[in-house]
Amino acid sequence: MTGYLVRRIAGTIPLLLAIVVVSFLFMRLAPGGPFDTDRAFDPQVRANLEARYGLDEPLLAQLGTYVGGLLQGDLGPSFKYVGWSVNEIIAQGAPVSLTLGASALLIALMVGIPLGVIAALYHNRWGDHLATGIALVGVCVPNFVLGPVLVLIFVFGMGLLPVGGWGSPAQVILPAVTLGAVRAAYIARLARAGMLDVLQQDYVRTARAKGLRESMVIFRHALRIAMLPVVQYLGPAIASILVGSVVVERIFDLPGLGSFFINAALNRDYTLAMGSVLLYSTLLIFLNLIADLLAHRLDPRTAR
Amino acid sequence: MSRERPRDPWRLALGRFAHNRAAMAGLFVLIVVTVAALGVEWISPYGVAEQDLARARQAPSWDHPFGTDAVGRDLFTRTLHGGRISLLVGVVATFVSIVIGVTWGLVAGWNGGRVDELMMRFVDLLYGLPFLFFVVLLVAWFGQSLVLLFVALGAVQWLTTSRIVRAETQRLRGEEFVIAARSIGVPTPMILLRHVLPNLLGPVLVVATLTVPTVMLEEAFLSFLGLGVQPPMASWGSLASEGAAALNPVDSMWWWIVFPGALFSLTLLALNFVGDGLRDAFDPKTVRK
Repeated sequence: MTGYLVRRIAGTIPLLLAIVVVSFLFMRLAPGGPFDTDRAFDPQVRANLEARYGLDEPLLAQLGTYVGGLLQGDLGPSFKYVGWSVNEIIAQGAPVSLTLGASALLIALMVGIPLGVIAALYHNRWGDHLATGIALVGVCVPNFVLGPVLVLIFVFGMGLLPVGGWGSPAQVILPAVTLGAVRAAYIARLARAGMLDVLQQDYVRTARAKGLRESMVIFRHALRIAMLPVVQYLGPAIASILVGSVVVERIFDLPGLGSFFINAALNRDYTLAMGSVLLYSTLLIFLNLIADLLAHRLDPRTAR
Repeated sequence: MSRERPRDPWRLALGRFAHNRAAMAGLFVLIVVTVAALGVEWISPYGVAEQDLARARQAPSWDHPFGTDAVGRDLFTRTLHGGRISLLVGVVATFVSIVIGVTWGLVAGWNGGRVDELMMRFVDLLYGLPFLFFVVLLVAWFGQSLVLLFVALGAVQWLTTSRIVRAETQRLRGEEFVIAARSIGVPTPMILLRHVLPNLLGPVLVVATLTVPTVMLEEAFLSFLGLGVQPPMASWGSLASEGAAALNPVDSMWWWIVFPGALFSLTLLALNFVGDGLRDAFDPKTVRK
């Protein structure tokens, strides 16, 4: 277990390094700069600005400075929000995005797993068809369609929930459901397939033959292995939630990292855009690692 | 040597596919949507850019089954037109991803050893990356063209294809007919072309069908953020974006989001049915219970 853990953590280092280098090249090779505006700057002003942000140095030296900053946890100054560092901006947006993402994942798991397990237990009866049907439709309604439709129904139609904004728990519900729904549907399909598979295994038959109560068989013996595909899917699920949060934050006008990221991309605020991508990537790699460790705990055979 | 094979696997697969009701329904929907999107000029009396300010923001009616937009364009026409772009991006980007994925998987699987190890480690590495964020930067900073969209989305989606192709190639490499071909000195490119690639066609077709909806979703994601196709062109994603932006409690124009969204979802559903059907048809062992 320790060896596996060390190997996995060591494996993430070249990945992180590659992300940093690729991000940096992206930043510097992009045509047009952050100081291209409709009205041309005075050349002297421009030179001063570029010197201020270190853009006049050779590329390699800039990369060195950037990586040096990163090692100290410094993502550099924002190009567009004058006087703000990228760290400060991210510190503002990240809690919103993390709350949203975590709630969405929680919803996806809490809806998806029971739905899938019930479908498997009622295999080929109407409960199964209903659950599979819901899951199938859920997979195919993209979040940018689901979000507005939910707003139409629950906010404008029934007036049950607030329109947008951020702060109270009621304002988290719709965005989190929008973000989690597709994943819930997918998880339900995986959980159903996993459960169906496990219920045919010999050790489940053995457990039943011993005369164990059915609930005991399901919860103690079957569920653990049946959840393996779900746990292995956590990595991709988290990735898609991170990506989806950008859209959902825009629909519901939330002040999260996603909005900052898109604005930074559009305004060529290079350091902020790269800082966000780095944060997203690191988060994803880290969470993937946790998901793999979890799978390993559930079934030691999965560790390579 | 006879060219006739006793039990052509393709005919068997097609037979199984034809008996799959969900898959056939999906195929039917797909054909209808595609034909409508391609033939919108003949179906709709309105031009896609035809504005009629007197009839702006109208709710659905017999004249305008999907309603009209902010400048009085017929939304039915625009939605079908948008489908054309969405389907085009889906198909072309998938093609790009298949070309990359098949080449990569073929080289890795055929060579084996260190080459294979290195190439597949690379794929493993890339699997953990949030590519779409890089694609966002790519289109935001290097210009928003359809061609870039094709290439960027295709370049993001080849990983799964390469894994499947690699595994298949490895298997085929040990098959007797390939060993026989090698033992009589058939050059490698010939073996790949004549014996390996044809046998990859089935699995690749299945991945491709399942890649199309993914790519379409990603195009829609970018277009929704204003980074995909640019006006006056529209795709299902950019139409949904207009609809979402117009949401307000007073006058929400629900038809702007509901119709393009519904058609998009329906198409994705159909594609998934067809993909699942093809998978079951080509690999009867994995038929879902």
